Amino acid sequence: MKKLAVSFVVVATTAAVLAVPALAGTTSVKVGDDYFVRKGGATVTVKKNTTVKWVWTGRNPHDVTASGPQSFRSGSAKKSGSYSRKMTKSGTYRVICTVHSGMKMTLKVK
Amino acid sequence: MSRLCTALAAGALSALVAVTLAGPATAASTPKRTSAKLKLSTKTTTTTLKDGTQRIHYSYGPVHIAPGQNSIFVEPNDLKPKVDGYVTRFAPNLILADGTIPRVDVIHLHHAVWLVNQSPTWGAGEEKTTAAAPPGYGWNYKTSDKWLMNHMIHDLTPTPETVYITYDIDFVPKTDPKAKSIIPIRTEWMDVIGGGYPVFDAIKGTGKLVNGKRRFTYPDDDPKANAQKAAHQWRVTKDGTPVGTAGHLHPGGLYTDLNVTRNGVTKNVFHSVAKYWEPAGAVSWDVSMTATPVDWKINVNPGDVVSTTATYDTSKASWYESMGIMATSVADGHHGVDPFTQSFPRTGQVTHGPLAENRGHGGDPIGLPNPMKLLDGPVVEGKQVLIDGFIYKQGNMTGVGMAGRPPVVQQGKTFTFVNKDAPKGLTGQVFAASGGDLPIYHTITSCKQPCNKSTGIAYPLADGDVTFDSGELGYGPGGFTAAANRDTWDVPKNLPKGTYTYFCRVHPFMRGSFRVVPNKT
Repeated sequence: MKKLAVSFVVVATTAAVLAVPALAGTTSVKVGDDYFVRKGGATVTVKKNTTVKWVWTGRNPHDVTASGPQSFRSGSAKKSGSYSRKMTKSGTYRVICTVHSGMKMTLKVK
Repeated sequence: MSRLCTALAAGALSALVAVTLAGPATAASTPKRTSAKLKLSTKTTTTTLKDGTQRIHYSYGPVHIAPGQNSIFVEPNDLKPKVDGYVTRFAPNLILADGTIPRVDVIHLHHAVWLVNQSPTWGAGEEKTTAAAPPGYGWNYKTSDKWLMNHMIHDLTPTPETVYITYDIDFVPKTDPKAKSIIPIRTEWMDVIGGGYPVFDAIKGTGKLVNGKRRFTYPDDDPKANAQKAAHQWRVTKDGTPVGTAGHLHPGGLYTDLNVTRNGVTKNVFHSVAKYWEPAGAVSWDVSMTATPVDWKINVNPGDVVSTTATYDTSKASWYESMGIMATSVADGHHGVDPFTQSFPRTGQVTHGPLAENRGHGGDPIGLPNPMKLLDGPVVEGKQVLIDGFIYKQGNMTGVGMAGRPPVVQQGKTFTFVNKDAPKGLTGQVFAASGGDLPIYHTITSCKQPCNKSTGIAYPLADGDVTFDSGELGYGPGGFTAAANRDTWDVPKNLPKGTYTYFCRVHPFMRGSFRVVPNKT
């Protein structure tokens, strides 16, 4: 853990020196029928300030409803499109589709 | 969550046990939940049991389930034994194409009834009771018998699915020497209502007060039931012996009773109890029913009237479209005891323990807003709020911004919900083979605020402080449907001011709210 923390600091410092804004980029998450990422669900870990983009790829209606350090949601179920959210608070989020019992994922923001 | 994990872990070791058990499960210790990994075949297979009896596994399907469907079908069924003989045990189930059993909070076996020469003979509800004839008895089977499958498989989500209805028959061919000593039985279908779609509503707060709790018994406590009374009575015309029975109930049901009336005196002959594995109590399909012990045999005489009642817990919630059935196997002649003068067991044991498919109980916080705290939505009095694509278009709890806010109506005024997912003219068909689109029925049913937790077999419930229910909006075949045969519902004008939360009891992930404000005029 200590080693990891150190290397992170190094990266951050380098970025600061280069005067590049601390853009953590975008991570895409698949919204399939009826699962997130892959069947059986998954844990996705991103850096703070990453924008997570959920992308609908299936035929059934789904939503993204999350609880954790903050609650957020994509709105009522839809069959296509995407939903993006910049994750500004670290912690563990539990993300579900309210339509489909058992359709869930864990989102860790570090 | 932790109770769920514990139940799953505990169930891992008990794979197959509850389903393959021939006898009743013992009630002495809490049985373990079956494994979620249990798989059944989608093909017909035959195994031979130790005593030489054949166990034939049938798989009826594929049955294609349309998004959100809640329709009844009757279809020919040729999946039956190839030779004459006796059926001594019947164990039903429901599986997906991969052989796994679907979660009950996703795909739900409302019923499957096996009709033999048009008489209902075996049935399955989500409690999946095994029907076992006592030793020495068997349902008489002839290859010339015409079988029909009457099924109602309910899709709780917009995801289409393919399922199979399975049944394991223990079978003794007529040519087997054992067949000579088997006494034939038939099924007397003891339903609290006869014909059509036999359901009643057990409304919260109705029924008798027993030790501070509400107990609603059908038909006794339903004033509308008198006209139908004749339909649920079996008037005995020749000597007979009921040799087995078990109750069928829906969530909220506590017990069914089988009664015999002779010369004006009524005697209870079996009390089938709902054993709830559900941690929240008598509120879900996580239940098993007790069945008669093997030595239960009751003599009935010509002139006797056999009837059944079903009792529900109406203390905390309403139970819509409830059922009460005691499929009773009967032999000709007298083989048992006189129920009025001799002693016999009135209670029995469950036929299986808790099932893995009932593991999704619901009720966990998921981050949906509390509608009580939302700002007012648009004023809708005299207007329509549409239900379209499984969404209440105003006030849906997953909605963001204005769409998620409760529509507002003044006290004494109303607005109208319209179900666009089941328009007039779309009725579905009794025979699935005829195909076509199916209507998707929705309800507006009050649930206790905030009603914003995760969906499962035990959440949400029809437990609003003020009780209301729209019926299943949409159209279906006459007398053979859960549908209200209208597609609109007017919000009652007499509601006290406040924010109301509701759900669709057909698709309980659908949640919404509306708000009643004081009349300004």
